[in-house]
Amino acid sequence: MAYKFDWGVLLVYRHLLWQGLVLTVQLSALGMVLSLVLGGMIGLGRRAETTPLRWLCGAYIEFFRNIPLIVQLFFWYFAVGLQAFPAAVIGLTVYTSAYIAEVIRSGLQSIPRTQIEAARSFGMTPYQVIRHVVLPQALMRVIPPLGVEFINVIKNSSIAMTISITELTFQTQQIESLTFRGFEAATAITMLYVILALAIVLLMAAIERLVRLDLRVG
Amino acid sequence: MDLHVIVENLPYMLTGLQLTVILSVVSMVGSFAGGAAFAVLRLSPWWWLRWPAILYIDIVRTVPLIMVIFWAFFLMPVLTGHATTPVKAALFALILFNTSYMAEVIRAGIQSIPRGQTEASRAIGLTYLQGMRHVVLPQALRHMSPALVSRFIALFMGTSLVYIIGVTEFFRAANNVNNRVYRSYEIYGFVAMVYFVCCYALSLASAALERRFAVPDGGGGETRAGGETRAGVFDRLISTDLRRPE
Repeated sequence: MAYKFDWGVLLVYRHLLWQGLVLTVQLSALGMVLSLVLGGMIGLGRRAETTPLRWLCGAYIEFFRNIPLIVQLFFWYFAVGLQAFPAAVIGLTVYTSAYIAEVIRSGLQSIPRTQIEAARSFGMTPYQVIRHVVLPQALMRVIPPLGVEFINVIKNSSIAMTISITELTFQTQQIESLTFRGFEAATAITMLYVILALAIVLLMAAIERLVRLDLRVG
Repeated sequence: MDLHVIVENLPYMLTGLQLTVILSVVSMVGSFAGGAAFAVLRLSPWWWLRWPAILYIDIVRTVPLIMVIFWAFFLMPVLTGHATTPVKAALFALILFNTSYMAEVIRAGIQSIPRGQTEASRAIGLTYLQGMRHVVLPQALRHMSPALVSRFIALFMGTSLVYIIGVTEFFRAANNVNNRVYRSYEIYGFVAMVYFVCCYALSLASAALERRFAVPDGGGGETRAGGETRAGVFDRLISTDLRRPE
């Protein structure tokens, strides 16, 4: 192998790495929170009593899930003409919320209707049924797939580089073009992505443990 | 709205779509082969085969596809000393990336077949490979088919990212048109519609396959304890990101 490594460039350009990391984390965190809220509402809407609402939520999910994120980002950025960061946040949120809505819907669907009917016949109010029967079970089923979606948000935030967001993947290219040391930069940034994904795995495991404890007590 | 732009540039964009389809199909075939190899390695009884496979599968699945494309296009030539063409690098990246997902789909497919069947096929005198070929794989493939279609949809959408290394697939072709005529609404709206129609049709096919195989299989309506069908076992084994993901 003719290539000579020079890991020193990482130290020299650490401000670029840091800037990229901060942007990736900001973008992903915003995307996660917003798409959880939006996706939660749409997932609930999928189980609504009124048929038009159910249909509308279904159409939303199918529509945004079946168009590549890069196309959606370009649409918000070039066609609608938003600023880069809002375009990235909106694109990421809308795209992810379609997936999260499916996660929420299947979590709710996994609880047999008979349980709800049984709880109702005990004399529980609809609120009590949701609070004590549906939610605890649904939550446990939803946490692992939500973790997967959150990791996907981090991965997908890399696509924002195509609309000039200077996040981690963009910085790989930046360092490569400044120093021709793309290999070292890509190694470091690949490792950063692995670490971020690991952080999500640990976070979701902690949340799952908390919820489990909470359920056992209450 | 000026749909004239679309009509005028349709032949050019369709050439791009053609390349998108070729890229998706070739990398699907390639990653099926790669995925099968890694699935077998992952299920191997020897840790020195199992661990590298697990490491590869789990690391690649946490890295963005764009990063993998960078690795393939900018970094491999530096390491190997050979320049590569964008299309070759794109195929390499897509296969490398999708292999890790396919390995998990295929692993779940193999594991959804009860071990007793492998043992039974050995007992009646089939070799290990014959047992795989005639007993395990035909059934596993049926369980996997909806997930395989999902992976194909993901690949099809993923090909839009190789635009960054200059491959003129559908998305880049559309961009080229837009750079010339500057009609963002019409062009990106059209691009979105084409992707939607293709992917939605495929996802309907995936759902139909799932319904088709949701019935207990095995002729005699064999189910496991709790009435779980074998396709149900597959669903439990497969991690959720493989059903539709990035």
